[in-house]
Amino acid sequence: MQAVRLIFQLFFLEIILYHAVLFSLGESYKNCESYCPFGAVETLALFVKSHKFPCAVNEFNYSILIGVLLITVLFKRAFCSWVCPLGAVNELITRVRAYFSRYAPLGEPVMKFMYGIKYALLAVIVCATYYNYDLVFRPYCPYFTAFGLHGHTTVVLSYFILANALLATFFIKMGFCRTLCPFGAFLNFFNTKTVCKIYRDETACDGCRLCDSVCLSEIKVSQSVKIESRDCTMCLSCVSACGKKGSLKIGI
Amino acid sequence: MKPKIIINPLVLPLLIAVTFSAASYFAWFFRMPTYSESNEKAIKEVSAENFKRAEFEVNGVVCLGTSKTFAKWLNELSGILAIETFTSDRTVKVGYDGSKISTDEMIMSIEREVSVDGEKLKPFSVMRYRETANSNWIILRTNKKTEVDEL
Repeated sequence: MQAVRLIFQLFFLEIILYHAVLFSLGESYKNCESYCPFGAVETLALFVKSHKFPCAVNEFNYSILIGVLLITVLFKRAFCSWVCPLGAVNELITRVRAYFSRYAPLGEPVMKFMYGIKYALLAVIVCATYYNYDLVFRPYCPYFTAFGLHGHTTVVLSYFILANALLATFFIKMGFCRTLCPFGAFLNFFNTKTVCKIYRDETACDGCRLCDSVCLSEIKVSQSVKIESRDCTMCLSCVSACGKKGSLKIGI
Repeated sequence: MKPKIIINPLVLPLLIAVTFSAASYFAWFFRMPTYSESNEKAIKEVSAENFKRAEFEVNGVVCLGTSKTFAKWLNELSGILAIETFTSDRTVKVGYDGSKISTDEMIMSIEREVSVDGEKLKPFSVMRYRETANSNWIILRTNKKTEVDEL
């Protein structure tokens, strides 16, 4: 299953980079921004107010957002671990970093504070976009900086922010995705009572805790009977790694 | 705890593939203009044979702001009756009075030069156009890089 996920991640990463290159060569009108569902989130209030697509956002961003919300309601934040190119880059950094040394636990109060950052960022971005009638966050967006191939609002500060956002992953497992990503914060509102979840069969589980060690979101899978954590991105690493095949299942 | 219904993990990638394909189709099916305006009163006054609808692919119509500027420039000409811009594919549909204005005059107006910080720029350039929805496209340019991007 992890091979299938890797293929999906590479496919979406390749699509984004392909269009970014074509855009920079003057061969296409679509760049990474054209496929960003967060653009639709940023401008949703403006769209509802004026019934017009603000700034460079168009129907494509909104239809992708609807698709992502559908996936989230059914399969938690699967978008983050299967589709998001920045999520793929974060996962790569996490895996490389974890190969050299284990992540030191930061403690619950620190993590609670860190989790709050992405919600604050989401609120600031949505309000700033609404009052400025423009995608004001774009120069500071790590996704646009990383995949926009020096897009027209990218400045030195943009690279500094991208570097810092990725640096977070060196200290916290999937640091950017879990603590800074405002789109992840938005998806969490639809991620509480999802249709499908991962279930752990206590009778079949032998308590090896392999699932805990491979979880990218540091969820204590072995201590739950069903995974309801908002951090679960349905990467299925736990299901694939489970030593006692069949004790972890996706179900309704 | 056992789930009531067990889902095959392969359902998830399948759902993602189907959802994203559907999202692309959905976007084209429910295409909405970024900016639109029409002079209904003037449209009624124009005879059916003179009312024409040209379609332009304009490089530089990238957002609502540039769409408004584009419409403002085009409205300076007489005979323009309706304008619709679609930023997703940089298309502009223009309803006009064929007895008062031609597509060549429109292109001349669209492709004007402006001065930004002492630098001369041409924000809009027509890539291709067609006189009616059924006629063939007339290609003028192929490079889709805008001068606005260079700013």
